[in-house]
Amino acid sequence: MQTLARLEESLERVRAGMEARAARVSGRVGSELADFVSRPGKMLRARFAIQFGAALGVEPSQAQTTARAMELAHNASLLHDDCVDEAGLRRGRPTPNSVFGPSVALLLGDVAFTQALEEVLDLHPKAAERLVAAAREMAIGELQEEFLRGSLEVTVESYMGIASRKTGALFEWGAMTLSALSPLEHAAADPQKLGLSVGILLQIVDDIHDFTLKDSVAGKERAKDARCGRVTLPGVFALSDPAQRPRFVELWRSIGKDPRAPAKLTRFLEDSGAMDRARERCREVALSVVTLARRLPVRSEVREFADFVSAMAAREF
Amino acid sequence: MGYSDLIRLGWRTGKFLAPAGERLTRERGPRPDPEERRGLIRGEMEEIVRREAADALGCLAPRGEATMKLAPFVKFREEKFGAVLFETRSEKVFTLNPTAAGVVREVLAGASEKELGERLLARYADPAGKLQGEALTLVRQLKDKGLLTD
Amino acid sequence: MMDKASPPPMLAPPWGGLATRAEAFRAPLYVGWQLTNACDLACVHCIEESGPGRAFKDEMTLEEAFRVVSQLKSEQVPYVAFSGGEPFKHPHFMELVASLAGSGVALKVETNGLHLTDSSCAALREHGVRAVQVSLDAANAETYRRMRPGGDFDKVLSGIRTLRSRGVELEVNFAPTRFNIHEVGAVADLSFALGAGGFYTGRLILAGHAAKAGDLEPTEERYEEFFRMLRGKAAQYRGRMAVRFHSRGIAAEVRYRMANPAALFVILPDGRVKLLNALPFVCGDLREASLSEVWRSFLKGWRSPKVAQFGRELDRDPAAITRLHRWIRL
Repeated sequence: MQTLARLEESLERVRAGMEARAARVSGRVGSELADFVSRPGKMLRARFAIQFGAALGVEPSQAQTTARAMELAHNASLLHDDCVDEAGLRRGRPTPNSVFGPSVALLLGDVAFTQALEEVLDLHPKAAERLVAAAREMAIGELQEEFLRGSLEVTVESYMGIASRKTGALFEWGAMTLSALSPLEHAAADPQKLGLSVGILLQIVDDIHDFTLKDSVAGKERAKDARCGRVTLPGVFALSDPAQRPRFVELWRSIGKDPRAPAKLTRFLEDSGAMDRARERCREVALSVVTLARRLPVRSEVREFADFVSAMAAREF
Repeated sequence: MGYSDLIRLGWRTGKFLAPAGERLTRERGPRPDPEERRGLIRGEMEEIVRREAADALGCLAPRGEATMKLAPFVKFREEKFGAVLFETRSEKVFTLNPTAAGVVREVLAGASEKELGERLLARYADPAGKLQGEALTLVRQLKDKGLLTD
Repeated sequence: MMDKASPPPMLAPPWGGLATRAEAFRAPLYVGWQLTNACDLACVHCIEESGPGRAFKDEMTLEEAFRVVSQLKSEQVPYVAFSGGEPFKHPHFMELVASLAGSGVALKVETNGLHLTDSSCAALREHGVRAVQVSLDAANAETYRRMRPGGDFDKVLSGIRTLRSRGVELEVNFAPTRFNIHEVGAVADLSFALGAGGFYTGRLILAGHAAKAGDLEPTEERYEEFFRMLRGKAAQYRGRMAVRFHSRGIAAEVRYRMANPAALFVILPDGRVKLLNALPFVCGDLREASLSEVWRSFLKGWRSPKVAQFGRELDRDPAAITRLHRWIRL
């Protein structure tokens, strides 16, 4: 299919561009470290940028640049996150902090972010300024979440708020940048809200997966959020139901003392229906995105993009 | 001397050296243990996050050049001289004349900076063409003072 | 279509600025409401002469109090502080909190800190109380007991921690006497460590118990050191904890207020309204008149010759404040 081939080709260009960035750095710090900066993962953000860009009629090389910037900024946050979480595994491979220690990973994250900024300097007058704002929102969202660890006072709204900063802000940036680069009329699709919603959707999906995906598929430890004291959407739903709250709190408090607590907690969230409520919220957000996406100008690309969003929401979980 | 005193001395004199015989002293008082400190901040975060909460389906409110609102802890009240903004944290009081009060009222009713200009022009004559600019300057000054926020 | 008029220039001064005269406002900006004169402590320096069993005989009924609440809301008074005595000792304290906090009114609760249990703090948080101000006049249990006989220093600290863990804003108040003035720096540090957003103090007000005790006042020398320490603390904690203090004595305060009345009044437990905490002048009664009527009486009250005369007396003899124990209706 033509569109799929074009998508793959664009993704290849994105990957090639990231490797080129790595090459520039590897001459200065060696290829092993450079590799961490630009190693690709699922490339969800890149896919988003390319497909959304196509549906907006954005010139492919500009969409690819936007994609690379999103991936590099995302890599930067992952490199730092893994230090924060003391994670040993990411994308199925050992993390730089576990191999070399946190200082190295922190510095690599800084390098990755500067590279993200370099990508967009010539893209559009406001792109860099907005990327800085997005990075600020990402960092603030993470700070807020970091200090909420151990708190049981999380509501659905505050969870959504944090997700909109932590994850949504970068997608919002990508969407707004592509919107500014689009030569076609498209205000009805509300790109800012659309991008933000896609980010939040992804966060909810990730948070469900944290409980449900098998270790081998996830590429990281199971129920990591719960182990770190972070209440995510399924937990928030359990907390907000007076009938479920006491049992949830009991299981939550036993994490760290009972090695089987994370598994018991996951089972409880399934049995009580809290996990399903989170899945339902996922579907609602996906639907709101698809509804907006239907108003995008390049009709032949809209279907691809909508399918991408639905596939993301329905991912095996 | 304390660390900040030392720095200030350095700025003043250009020499970043402690005066002979001076010892650096700890400035801070009793330090609570990290867990307790974290717990204190956690309480504050819960409040902050509650304030910044967004309903993903409803108002994934566009940030940036969009709607503004009163900053936290700020109250707005109509008065015969216009209106008053009262910042309950510092207990500072700011008075607004009728036009300035009108600007703030429009802002609180949801006008973005762009819409603000349009609504003012619909109500007032603007022979010198300065109305919109003044309104925007006013809004920016109020933001700088921490009375309005995005 | 009506001709559009040119608006007055909005940025010409004073489009905005610091407070104008109180008369310009249609209602107070700040109301201090003493819910009851009962208190579980009997502190040596209490200007209200509160204590166990010291509630007034005719404190407002719940219905009368709710009438005041609804007027505070309809007049859009932005800021109300519950005090007393000890506000928690009011039989319907939480109901009053619930009715006022979070309804557009910023509500502060001023307390001795002995009632901050997990459930009361959760309730305060739930109702949206803006801040809780705890009187902490010492940095250790011994000094605390001297200032606040019957009090329990550790209980207060524990209550404060509970308050903070529930996410409620904390402020600390410190009243200096001969016994504790040297601890002001330590109390400021302790307040910061406990997560206070504000630390408030000032000269001892020689009224009520403080006046009767006779020998509580620190020397002028000690006061100089006190204010020097406070200025240092204000700088040290700038941006993290507000350190605010009045160095004016009551005589100077009265003189200042006579020229610049604050848009603030004080409601007594029986519904009467005073001009200023430390002064004996009553300007109205909320059981008999509406809030806006009493506000107008308040503004007139500051202009009353009796107040001016009292101001002159204070100028001549600052100790005059200690001799007036009866309230004067203006």
